Amino acid sequence: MTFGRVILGDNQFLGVNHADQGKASSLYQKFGEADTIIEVIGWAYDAGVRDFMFTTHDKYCPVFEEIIRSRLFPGLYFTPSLPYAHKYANAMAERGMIDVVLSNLREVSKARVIPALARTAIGDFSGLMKLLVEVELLMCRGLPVRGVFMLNIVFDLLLGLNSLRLLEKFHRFVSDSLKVTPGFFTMNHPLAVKVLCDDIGLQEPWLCSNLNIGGFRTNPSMEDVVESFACGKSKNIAMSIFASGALGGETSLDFVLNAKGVDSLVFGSSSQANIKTNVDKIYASNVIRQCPV
Amino acid sequence: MTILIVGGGKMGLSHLAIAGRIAGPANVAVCEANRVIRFLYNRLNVRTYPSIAEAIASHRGIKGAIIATPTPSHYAISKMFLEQSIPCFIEKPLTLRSTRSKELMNLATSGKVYTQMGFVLRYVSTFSRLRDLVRTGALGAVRSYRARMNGNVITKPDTKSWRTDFSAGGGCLNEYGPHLIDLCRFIFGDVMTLQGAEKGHVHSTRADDQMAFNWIHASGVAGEVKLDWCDTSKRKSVIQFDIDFEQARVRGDNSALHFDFHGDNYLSPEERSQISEPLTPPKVSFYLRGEEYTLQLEDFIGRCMGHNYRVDHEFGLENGAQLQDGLEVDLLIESISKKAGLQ
Repeated sequence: MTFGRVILGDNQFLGVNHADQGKASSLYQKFGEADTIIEVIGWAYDAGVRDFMFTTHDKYCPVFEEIIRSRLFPGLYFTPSLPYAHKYANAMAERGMIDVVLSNLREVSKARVIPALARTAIGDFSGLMKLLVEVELLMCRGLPVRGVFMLNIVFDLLLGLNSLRLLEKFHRFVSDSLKVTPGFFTMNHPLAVKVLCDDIGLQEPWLCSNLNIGGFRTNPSMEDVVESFACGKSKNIAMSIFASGALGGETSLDFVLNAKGVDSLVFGSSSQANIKTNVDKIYASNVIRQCPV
Repeated sequence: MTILIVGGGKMGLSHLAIAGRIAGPANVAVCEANRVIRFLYNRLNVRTYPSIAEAIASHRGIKGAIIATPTPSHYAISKMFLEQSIPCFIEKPLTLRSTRSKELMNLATSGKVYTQMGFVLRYVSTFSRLRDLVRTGALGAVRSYRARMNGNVITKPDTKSWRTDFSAGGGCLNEYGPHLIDLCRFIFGDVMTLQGAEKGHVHSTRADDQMAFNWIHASGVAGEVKLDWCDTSKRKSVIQFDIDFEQARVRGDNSALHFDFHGDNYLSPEERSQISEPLTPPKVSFYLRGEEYTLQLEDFIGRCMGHNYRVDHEFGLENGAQLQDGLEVDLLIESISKKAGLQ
């Protein structure tokens, strides 16, 4: 299963704005209610978007309950990205790492927790990782899930630690056991392609990474990232395409639509007009290939 | 050749991942007293040592130490490395007593050992730009400024953790203070006079949850500073500066600067446009959690290894903080805490 040409992201719901902390703070408060989030998802759905990519923040639980209960947005697919780091960072600061891990595992049957912890005790983290992924996905019960992505705070950490086995096992678990599309967010696209494709040997893994005209967070250089997108080894979702609105909208979008190797674009907005304008333009472009559901 | 990370907690893990990509995975190791944590690192193929003495004995070629342990241990650990003439990168704050901070600084100076403080926010492009604006006088002299650091760290009463115990290094002043106090010094220069300080409590009884103080810099600039780690409107900690220059009012945070030029400013439209052009963060060799975390280690490890690891060869080459800066911040925290009645 592959992704649509345009994906609704969720930075606006979580109060993330790379260009304006004041706007970020007001968005964080604005989207405190499920109804306001559902309204924005509805604007994207009406504009033709059929993918919603989100981090596993607890605030989505009532949103998804309402979507399922009222049978909203038929044909919309959901792609959770995990883990939501702030949730764990805050909990760990208050309760400690072991308590946080164990309290999360209470959601899963003991028959599966004990072997996973036993494997962890001998240094195999993959069982624990799988259970934690399952716990994170509990909020998606009843929803059509398209993919599961590992967020860059963990993926890039594992890249830094050169933990190839864990990356490979995550990919295989999501693909073979959950039977959805695995993917990785990264701020190091060229290095991620090298590690996933050349070192581990994955075939066309999905990567979600920054690509924008201003070169915002394209490391180690914009040229390297553009080349890495175009190299054909990975499937790519471009993000931060407007660099949080710091640059002119139309030019920013043209740049990404004309870049090679961009399979999908993800963006978030809290404006109905912006969502419709951008989605229309992306669908009108012939540069990105149409991805059937 | 090894870069040794002392302390395998959250900061140590972050430093390890970045240092491993800068210096190469084979050139980093972790020193951690906790056996379970050492075991976990070993399973990730990371070399570990249970003590500094053992690490030094095993590796005569330790080129630098990154100290990411709780603050009360900084003094003893740093001293061991400095006595061996091993360069140190020390997380903030330097120590909990300025007399000890001074001792470390003297040790580094007399032994001519390179040291760097983990005042990471100096490498944030917006704050670095504010420093340039003040130094170059591009917007005229500074009349005054306000600085804020707000976050949502303490959300309920806590009478057990060290984090809410001032004497153990906890509290808002100890947690947020070093970052913002150092940034104020970095941008506006040395502080000359602390005029007043007032603490506030929301959930904590053994430490401050809020702190407000005002001071005069050696340059004559007056600053008003507020810290608050109980601000529920914030998802993560945010620093904001509001600076009144002769030609403009500038608001700046971790992400962007906003310029409001005074009606009678003498700048040409081209100059105004150039000054207010949006900033793009510098490029780094490996991104984990913000360019600033990589830049500070590219600089430190570069000095240790005698090699330039930067991919951005222009941004903030002199932004690294020294032990002298760590000492100055510790002295100011002591003064503020006394004035506010925490000591």
